Amino acid sequence: MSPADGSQESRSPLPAVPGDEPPAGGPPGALTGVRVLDFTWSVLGPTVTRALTSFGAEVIKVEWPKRADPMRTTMYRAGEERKGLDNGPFFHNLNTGKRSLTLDVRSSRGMEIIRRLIGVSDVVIESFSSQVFRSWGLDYDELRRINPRIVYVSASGFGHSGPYETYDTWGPTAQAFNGLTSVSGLPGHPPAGWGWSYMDVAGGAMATVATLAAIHHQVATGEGQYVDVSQVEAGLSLTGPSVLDENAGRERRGGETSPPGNRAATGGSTPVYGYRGEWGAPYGAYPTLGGGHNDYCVICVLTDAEWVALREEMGRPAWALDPSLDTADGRVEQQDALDERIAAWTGSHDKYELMRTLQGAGIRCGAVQSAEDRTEHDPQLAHRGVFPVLDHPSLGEHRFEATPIRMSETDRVTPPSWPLLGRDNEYVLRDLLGMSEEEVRELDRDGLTWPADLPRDVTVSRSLW
Amino acid sequence: MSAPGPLAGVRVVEIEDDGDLVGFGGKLLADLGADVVKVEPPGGVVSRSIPPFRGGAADPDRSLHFWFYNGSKRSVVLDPAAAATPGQLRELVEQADVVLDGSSAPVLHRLGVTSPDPGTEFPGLVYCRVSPFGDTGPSAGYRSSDLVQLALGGIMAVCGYDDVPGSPPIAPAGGQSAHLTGMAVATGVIAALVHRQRTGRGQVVDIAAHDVVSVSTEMSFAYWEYQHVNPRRQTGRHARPYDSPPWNHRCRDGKYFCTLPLYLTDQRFAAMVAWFAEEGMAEDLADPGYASDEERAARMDHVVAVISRFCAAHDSAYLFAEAQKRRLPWAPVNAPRDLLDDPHLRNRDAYSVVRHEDLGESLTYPGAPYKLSATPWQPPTRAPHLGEHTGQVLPGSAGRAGER
Repeated sequence: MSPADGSQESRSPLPAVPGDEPPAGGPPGALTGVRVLDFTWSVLGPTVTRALTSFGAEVIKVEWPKRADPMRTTMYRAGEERKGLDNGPFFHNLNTGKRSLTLDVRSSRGMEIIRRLIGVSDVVIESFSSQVFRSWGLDYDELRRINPRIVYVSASGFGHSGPYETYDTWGPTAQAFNGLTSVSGLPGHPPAGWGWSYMDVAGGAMATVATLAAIHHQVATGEGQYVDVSQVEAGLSLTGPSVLDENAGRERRGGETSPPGNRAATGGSTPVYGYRGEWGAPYGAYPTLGGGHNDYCVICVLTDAEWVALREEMGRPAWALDPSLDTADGRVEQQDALDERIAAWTGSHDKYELMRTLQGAGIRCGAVQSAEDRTEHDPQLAHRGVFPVLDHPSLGEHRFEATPIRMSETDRVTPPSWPLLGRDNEYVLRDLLGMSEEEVRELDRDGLTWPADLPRDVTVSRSLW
Repeated sequence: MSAPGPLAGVRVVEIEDDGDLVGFGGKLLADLGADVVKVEPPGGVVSRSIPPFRGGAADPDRSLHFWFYNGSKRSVVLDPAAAATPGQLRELVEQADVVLDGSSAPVLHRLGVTSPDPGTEFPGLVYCRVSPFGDTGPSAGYRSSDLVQLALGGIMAVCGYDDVPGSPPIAPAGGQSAHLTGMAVATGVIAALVHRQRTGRGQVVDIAAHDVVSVSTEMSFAYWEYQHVNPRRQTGRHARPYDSPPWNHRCRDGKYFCTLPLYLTDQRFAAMVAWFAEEGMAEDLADPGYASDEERAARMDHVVAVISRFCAAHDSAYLFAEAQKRRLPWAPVNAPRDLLDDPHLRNRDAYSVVRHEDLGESLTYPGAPYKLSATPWQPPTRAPHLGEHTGQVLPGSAGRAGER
């Protein structure tokens, strides 16, 4: 039982949220029984299928060991001596709960097996460049011929049509192109961008919504469809108000090429809006005691009453009593001076101590948290069960990132399955396709389920990260 | 007339009172065809007061923020005289398939629901509770904002500069904590609807923004869990526990250009060097000392310096077309306004024109984020005026409060 149990406070109307064990009775997941044939790789596509596993879907990840998902070898434990294909922790954190089939799909026998698998699947998903599936003879028309109720999801950089259809993107390319990189940074400086592939995570989350919507329609009608997700386009709606502001004749400047820093608005005769869905000042990240890389606390004042509360907490310094600071417009105008004064005050406080004190006074604030902070020093995330401990066959017991959706009837499940390369070949070929032991052995002998010239125990010399 | 969306016939009731954590989730559902009814207090929800406003002056019906997140939705203002009694709210919930509840306190309290299972009073209801931190636990009552979520959730810790002395961690703009939360809301709700299709049973979906943001930073978690290091902020590129060369270089036309050096395979590197050589700018990169991945990794600072000089001598449009011709996954760093006339996005109808007949104009909005062939994304209609649909949704409503 996880501690994320609503019954601890009697006034909560929410039912107790179960832990990672499926509840007794009923299907354990909303997608239990849904089979997904997964050709995705890297991060965008696997983000989708990771979410599907947490709803109980059976995800079969198809790879050829010579072109295995590069995330398998992208990062290892500190001091790892054997950098193999099955012990990359970043990969397994992202691909928790999936099954693995190794198959040479570029052989005719391999493709025949894929076509049979499509016939017994509900969803086929891939994140290749746009030409790959077509070059295998698997465009949507063909997929539909094999299985009329199939949902086909392609998650690509620019989508499966248009002048840039063949262009290659990775997450950083997509977020540079679609405007997301440009909205992060300090005015007057180059973009700070994102410290990771935001468009892999957010694009994957958007593609998950689309995939579920198609499954909803499939369950209702038995009809499949083609879901074309462009990572670039999925991000256009993440700068929506800036787009409107541009073509609404720029009511007042928003989204100059230089972004607004951490502020929600900057003053002047043509204010620049931060487009955070908020408006007010002071609003920023202030340095705290210790002076370390992440020793900062953010403070956000959105109402006059919150300003009064902050003033009290700071001990009513004379400068803060200036009546011109009593209004939001006045505070926005004087943000530079305000920020300097506040930073001078926060500098002598620990970030967590400051957060607890100010939150106690009803002020919106929070410590800047590293990954260490979130996993070791955040009692709320622990309470919510966000990093459950799982036992991985080669990594041992570790915390993993859970899908952040709790459900009272069909809470997230963690199928006891890990995509160790080829681990589920027997299950897929024999149980799903009804092949005989001899047929499976023959495929292996002929180098169709593992390359004849590749050792089973591959190691790599250099990891990407 | 195009086909209906995959959620046609699903009635969603959307409630918020402090901030806008549910607006994007509701938009995702509305754009997939759900009928989303937004419940507002007589003065309108907070998100109607977000500037800028069309025409300049503050007006609850002219916030660009509100417009974007509330297209296709209907607005209902509850009768203020009846605010003490939950009758109208109960009526709305009874008609709903889904409730998105982003209120400060769970709206079911206001309805007097004490059962741990709202399904006993509202059979089949998918009740999605959306809160900044969750309703229980040590931070349950904490006040929130976009910046608070990006700080606590780990996004700021990895976004910023390594070459601007004294610069703080940076929170990317756009309202991304609400976006990530909205995606989780739509995902959880549709999954619950699928479960309901199969079993007839509703359930509670519980989304906390802090949970969602905290698992959205890709490598940060694994770096700590498996290497016990925290990545450091580096300008315009991935945060890492070690130094790395820059990705974004300034072009001749002043734009920045993202030249991802991460995946310079032998093939891509050779294509790049050949290209630079055509212009006499390959410097020493054709030397055999760069032939292998290991050798290039060891001298990447120099490789990147050559790339930077090449960018400085060319315009971003040329670099984009020529790089992609050579399968280099590079692209210009565009601002949102640079994209409205992009030929690819135009070709794919990535923007959607929304008619504001009340103002006699049409505006371009971001369009379909995904293309579903049988049940397409639905182009939005303009956001509702405050209380525009009160009489329609609650025909018995006295005085049609708030309607303009």
